[in-house]
Amino acid sequence: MLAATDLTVSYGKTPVLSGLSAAFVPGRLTALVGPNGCGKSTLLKTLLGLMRADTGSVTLDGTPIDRIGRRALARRIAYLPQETHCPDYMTVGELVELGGHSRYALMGGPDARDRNLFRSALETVGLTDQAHRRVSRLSGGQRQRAWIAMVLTQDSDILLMDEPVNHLDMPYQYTVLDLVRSLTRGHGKTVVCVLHDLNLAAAFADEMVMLREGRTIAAGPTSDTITPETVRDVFSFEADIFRRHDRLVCLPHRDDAGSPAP
Amino acid sequence: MRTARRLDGRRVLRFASGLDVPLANLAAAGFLLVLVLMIMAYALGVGATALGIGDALRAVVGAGIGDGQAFALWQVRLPHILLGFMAGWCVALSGAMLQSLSQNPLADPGLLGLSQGAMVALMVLLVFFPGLPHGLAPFVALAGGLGVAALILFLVGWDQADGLAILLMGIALETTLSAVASLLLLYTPPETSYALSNWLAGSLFGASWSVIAGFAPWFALSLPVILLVGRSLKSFDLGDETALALGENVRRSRPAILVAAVLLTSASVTAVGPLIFLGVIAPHIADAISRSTGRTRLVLSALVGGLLVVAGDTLTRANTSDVALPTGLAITIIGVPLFIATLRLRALRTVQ
Amino acid sequence: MRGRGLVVLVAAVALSAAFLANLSLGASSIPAGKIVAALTQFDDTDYDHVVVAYQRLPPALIAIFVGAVMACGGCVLQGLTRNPLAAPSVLGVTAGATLFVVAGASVFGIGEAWQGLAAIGGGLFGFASTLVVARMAGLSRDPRGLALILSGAVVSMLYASIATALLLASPSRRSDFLGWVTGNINHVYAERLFDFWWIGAAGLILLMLLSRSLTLIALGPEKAASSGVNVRLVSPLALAAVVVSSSAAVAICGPIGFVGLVVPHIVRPFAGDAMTVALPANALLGASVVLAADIVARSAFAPYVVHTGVIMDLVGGLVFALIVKRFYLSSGPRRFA
Repeated sequence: MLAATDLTVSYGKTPVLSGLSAAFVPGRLTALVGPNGCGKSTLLKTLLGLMRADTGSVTLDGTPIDRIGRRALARRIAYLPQETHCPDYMTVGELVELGGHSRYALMGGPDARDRNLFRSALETVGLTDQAHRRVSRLSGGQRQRAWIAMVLTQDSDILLMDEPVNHLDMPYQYTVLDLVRSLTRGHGKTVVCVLHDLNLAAAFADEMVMLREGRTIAAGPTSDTITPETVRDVFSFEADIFRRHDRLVCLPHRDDAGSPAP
Repeated sequence: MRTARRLDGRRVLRFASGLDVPLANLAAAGFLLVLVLMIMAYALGVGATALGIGDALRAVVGAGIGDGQAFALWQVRLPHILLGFMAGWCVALSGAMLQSLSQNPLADPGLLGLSQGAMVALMVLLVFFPGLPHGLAPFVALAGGLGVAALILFLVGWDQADGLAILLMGIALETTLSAVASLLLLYTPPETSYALSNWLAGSLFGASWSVIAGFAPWFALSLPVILLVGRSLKSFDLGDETALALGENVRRSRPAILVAAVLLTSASVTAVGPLIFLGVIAPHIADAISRSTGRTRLVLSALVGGLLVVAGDTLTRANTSDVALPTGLAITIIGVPLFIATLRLRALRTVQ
Repeated sequence: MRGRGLVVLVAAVALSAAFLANLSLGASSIPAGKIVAALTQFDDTDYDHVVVAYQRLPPALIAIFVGAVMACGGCVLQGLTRNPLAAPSVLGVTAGATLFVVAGASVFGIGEAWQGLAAIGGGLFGFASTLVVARMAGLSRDPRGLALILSGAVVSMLYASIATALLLASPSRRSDFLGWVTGNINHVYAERLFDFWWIGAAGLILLMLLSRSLTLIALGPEKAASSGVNVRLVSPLALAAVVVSSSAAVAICGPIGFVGLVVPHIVRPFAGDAMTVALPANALLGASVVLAADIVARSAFAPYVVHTGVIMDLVGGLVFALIVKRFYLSSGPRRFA
C-alpha cells in the first residue's frame, strides 16, 4: 500500500504541505480534491519522489520510496502529469513503447510480453487503429487516451494522475474517467487522481482525500466523506449534497448577490 | 535478428534482445557511410601538390609515389581528412545531445558559447602557463566549456522553457569570449600567433598525426557515450517529470550528459578550434534524411557532422590553392543558410 | 523637462572630458592646456601640436562620429522595433556594410570613394536580410521580437564570415583590411572620415527633425497615427537614416558594434522616452563611450594596441547578456518601451 506520513513540503520558503498523512486503498480509485493551491499536485509529485519532502516519508508497502531506485519505482508506480509534453515527431506507437522504458536492458528492447502489453493497452484506450499517427495530430481526448495507454504499459500496480480530464470537453471527461475507473475494476490497479471538479470526483471516485492548505481535512469512502460539513471546511462554501441517479451531487448555495455564500 | 514491424507500422531490424532499429535509419546510415568514404577518397586527390585520386588511393594501399607526393598524402591530406571527420563527428554528436537535453532544437555548442569557453581556457593555458604538458589541454578546455555551461545554467536555469532566449544568452557569451580570445592572442609569441589565429577561426591547419593521436581517445569515448546516452535521451523528449516517472534518473543523467557533450566539444576545440553551427545543423540534416530517435539519431547526426567537415575542408582546399581558408569559416558560411532553413521549419511546425 | 535637459549637459561634459583625455593620453602625455592651444592656435613647429593635430585628432574625431551615429541609431531602432536588443550591429546593418565594402574592394577592386556607397548598399542589404529571415523564422508570432534579434545575429555571423573569407582569399587586399574588418579607429582612416562624415551628419539631422514623431511612434504606432503622425512615412525614413548613417560609420573604420546597443540603455533611465532629449544625449554619450573605449584599446594592454572594435565587443557582449537576463529571463513580465 502507498502511504504518506506526516509530509511537509515547501517551494522555497512557502510551505505547501504541512504535516499531511494519507493512505491509498489498493484496487480503488482515490480522488484528491481541494481548492486551488491546497497541495494536491504537490502531494502527487511527492508520492512519486519528483519533489523531496522536508519531513515525513512516503512508503510503498512499508519501504520508503527514496530507498527504491528510480527504475524499480517506475515498475511499481506510474504517473501522468497535468501538462504532457510530446515532441511533434512522435507517433502514438512510439509514445506507448516508451512506457516500458524501465524494463529494457541497456542493449535490449521490448520482449514478447511487452509487445502484448502495448497492444492490450492500445485496445483498452480504444486507439488500436491510431498507433501510426502522430500524437500531435490527435484530438485532445485521443491524446489523453494515448498518454493513458503509455502509462498503462508501464505495467505498474499504482497509477498517479494529475487532472487527467482538465482540458477535455465534457463528453471526453466522462469517457476518460470511465476508462480510469475501469482500470481499478477490471485490472485491479490502484489509482490516485487529482480532480478539481468535486462533482466529477463524487461521481467516479471510490475513496476521497480532501485537502486544504496542505493538510488532510477528511478522508475515506466517497459517500461518507463528502458532506455539507466537509465541503464547508475545505472549500468555504455551503452546499447541498444529495443523491441523484445513484450519484452524489454537490450543489453550492448562492447568496442574494448571486455568488456562492462565503 | 529479423525484420519486424513496430507498433506504429515502421519496419525495423529486430535483434534477439528486443532492441530494434528502423530499416530506414539503417539505410540512411549506410548511405551516409558510403558518401563519407567517397568524399574522403575524393579529398585524397585534392590539394596544391599534383597527386590525383587514383595515385593517392593506390599509394594508400601500398604503391610507391614520389617523396613530395608522399609527404602531401601522408602528412597533409590524410591527417586533414581523418581529423576533420573526427572533429565533425564529435561536435555534431554534442549538438544532438544538447538539443535533446535542453529540448531546444536550436541548441549548438558553438552558439551557446561552450566552444568559446573551451577556447578561452586553452588560450589562458597557452599564454600564462606555457610550461604545462600538452596532455592537459583537453581537460583545461573541458573546464572552460563547463564554466560557460554553468554560467548559462546560473543565468537561465534548467527549467527555462524559452529556447530562443537561452540562445541569445549564449550568443552574448560567445561574442564576449571571442573578444577575450582576440585579446589573449596579443600575448602569444609571434611565431605561434598565425597558427593560433587560424585555430581561433576553426581550422584543420594544424592537422597532424600527433594531434590525431591526442584526439583519438576522446573520439573513441564517443562510442560508449552514444550507447549510454542514446537510451536516456528518448525519455528526455517527454519532459523531466515524465522521464523521471518512466524510471530515467534525470537528476543524475542530465548533468552526466551535459558533461559528456561539453567534453566532446572541448576535445574537438582542442584539436581544430570552434566549429559554430555544425552542432545545430547536422542533426537537422540527419532528420531530413531519415527521422530517428535515441542512439540512431546520435549516430546519424555524428555521421553528417563528419561528412560536412570533410566536405567543407575539401572545398576550401580545392578552391583556395594559395591560402588555407579556415574550415570553421566554411562551416559557418554553409551553416547559416541551413540554420535559417531550420528556423523556417520550426516556424512552420508551430503553426499547426 | 529641466531635469531632462541636465542629461544633455552632463553628456556634453562627459564628451569634453573624454575628448581631452583621448587627445592627451598616448605614447607621451600631453597636458590639457597644450591640447587646447594646439586646437585653437596651431603652431606647426611645436612637436606636441603636430602630434595632436595629425596623429590624435583624426582618430578622436572618427570615434566621436562613430559613437554618435551608432548610439542614435540604436536608440531609434530600439524605439521603432520596441526591442531592447535592437542596434545597427545586432540587426545586420554593420555586417552587411562590412561585407559590401570588402567584396567591393577585393572582388571588384573599387576605390575608396565608392566604398562609402558600397557600405550604404550593404547596410541596407544586411538590414533587409535580417527582416526577411525574421519573417521566415516566424516574426509574426513573436511578440517579444526574439526571432528578429536571433535572425540579426545569424545574418551578421554569415556576412562577417563571408567578408573574412573574401579577405583571406585575396592576399593583396588582406593587409589593407585585416585591421579595418575588426573595427579599428586609426588616423590612417582620416581621409575616409573627410569623405563620408556628411552622410552621418545628414542622417543625424534628419533623425533630430523627426524626433517628435519618433517619440510618439515609440510609444505606440496606433497612438502616434491618431495624433497626426504619418507613421508610414516617418518610420521608413528614420530607419533609412539610421541604416545609411551607421553604414557610413562602417565605411570609415570598420564595424564597431554594440555602442548602439549599450548607450541607449545608459541614457534611457535619465532621458526618458522623449527623443528630442534622448537623441542628443545618446549622440554625446555614444561619442564619449567610443572615445573611452579607444583609450582603453590603446593603453590598457600596453605594449600592445588593440582594435577598439574588440573592446566594444567585450563590453557589448556582457551588456547584451545582461539585457537578455533582465528583459527576457526574469520571472515577472517586463514591459519594454
